[in-house]
Amino acid sequence: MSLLAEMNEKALKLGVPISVHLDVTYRCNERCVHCYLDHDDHGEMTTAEVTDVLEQLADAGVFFLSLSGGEVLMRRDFFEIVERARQLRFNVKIKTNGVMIHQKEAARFRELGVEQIQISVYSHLPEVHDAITKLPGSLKRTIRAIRFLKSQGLKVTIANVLMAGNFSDQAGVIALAKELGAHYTLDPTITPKMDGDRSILALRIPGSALKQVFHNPDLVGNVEEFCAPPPPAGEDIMEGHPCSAGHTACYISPYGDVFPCVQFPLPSGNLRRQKFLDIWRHSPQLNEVRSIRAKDLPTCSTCSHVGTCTRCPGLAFMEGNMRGPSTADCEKSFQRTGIPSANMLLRTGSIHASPLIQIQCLS
Amino acid sequence: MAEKYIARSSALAARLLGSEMMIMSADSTFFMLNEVASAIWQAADGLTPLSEIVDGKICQEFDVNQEQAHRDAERFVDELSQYCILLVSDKPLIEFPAAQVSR
Repeated sequence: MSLLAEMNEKALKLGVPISVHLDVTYRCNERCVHCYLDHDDHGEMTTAEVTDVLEQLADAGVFFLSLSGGEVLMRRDFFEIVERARQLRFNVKIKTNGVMIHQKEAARFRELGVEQIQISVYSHLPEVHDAITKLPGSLKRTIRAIRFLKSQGLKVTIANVLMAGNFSDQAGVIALAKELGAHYTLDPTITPKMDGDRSILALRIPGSALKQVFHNPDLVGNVEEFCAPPPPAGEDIMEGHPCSAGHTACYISPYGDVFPCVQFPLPSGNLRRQKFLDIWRHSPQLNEVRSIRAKDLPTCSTCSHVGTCTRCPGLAFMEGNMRGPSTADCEKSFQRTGIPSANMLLRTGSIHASPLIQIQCLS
Repeated sequence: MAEKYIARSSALAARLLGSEMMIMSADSTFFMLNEVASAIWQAADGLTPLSEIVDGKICQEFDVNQEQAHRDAERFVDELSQYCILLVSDKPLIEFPAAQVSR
């Protein structure tokens, strides 16, 4: 077991929130077509409030801190926040679109010892990227920012959200990342807006494109292994929990609201009224999330993918039931292995098919 | 033998998990210090000599042989200084900002 895995296991055992994602603002200078946020400011935490939250998080044992938004640099006090976070010895990762980063900002991030900066790039073609961000000239500015950051020796990751409109540019973004000396990560997940509006889900890539992604050795490594049929789930799987949300990680909004995860909009407390540790330890919502084991999932526990599925409980929650399936992940499991999920079979009336018959669907 | 003064580097991330210290160095190498090593790291204020940390803290709080504790502490400090996790000097590191201690 790696040291990091050992640390995660220990944090889980001790109930320590080892990772927190803090959105410092929802304001943004881009208007990305797939964004799930409301960009108006409904009363962000002040500098003093954010600083107090950081101190509480340090006391609670948080080690990995992701600062994101919105666009983080829309806050004039952002460097003050990062400076305090580093004084408190967090491992800091920043997510940004980069358009406000110049030499001076890049140098400051290096001085402060920021671990990694993740920047969204949707295409290597300005006309495609800028059409998604709705900010003319944004790709040019983002690439310039990456060069500034790299010149400071900082670690930069290009995050490539895949949608129907930019799927064909994926190889171009990979080549751009290589040219810039940046890491590359892709994400084919489009989530509903935080207000529940599901219209942006129409931007998702089709199943056939997802299949291409999962069968691309440059992205997944060993395709045979990655796309192998799931092994039978043992007791350890059925007694396991779905992901780190609420167990060793949580999300905090610019208004101080605490949620199990950025993709899991279950309000669990507010830091303007409660202390972080009180919410983390005693929130009925977080405790409910923590109580769920794979065996408790009515449909998913009967699914052959239960042990290998990337099922997101937050997406399931947004579909109406945190114990239910997340259809986006059912689709991923299907496109990866060719084996339909229990939820897919249920929808087509074939839930009682035996595992043997499910395997026959492959051919 | 000259005294050694040790101070925590400010260029890293660190947090106590239970009794063990998690550390991520500036080059993203991850370390976990055991309970004794964590106690030395936390006491590394740049002003207290290593020998005093070992005699006054480690030998008092842990069931260790004094001679062995000094040898282990020397080795531990040498190793961590190679990764720039601990700064080592034969004089007090008085300019080092040791305020951010052991959260």
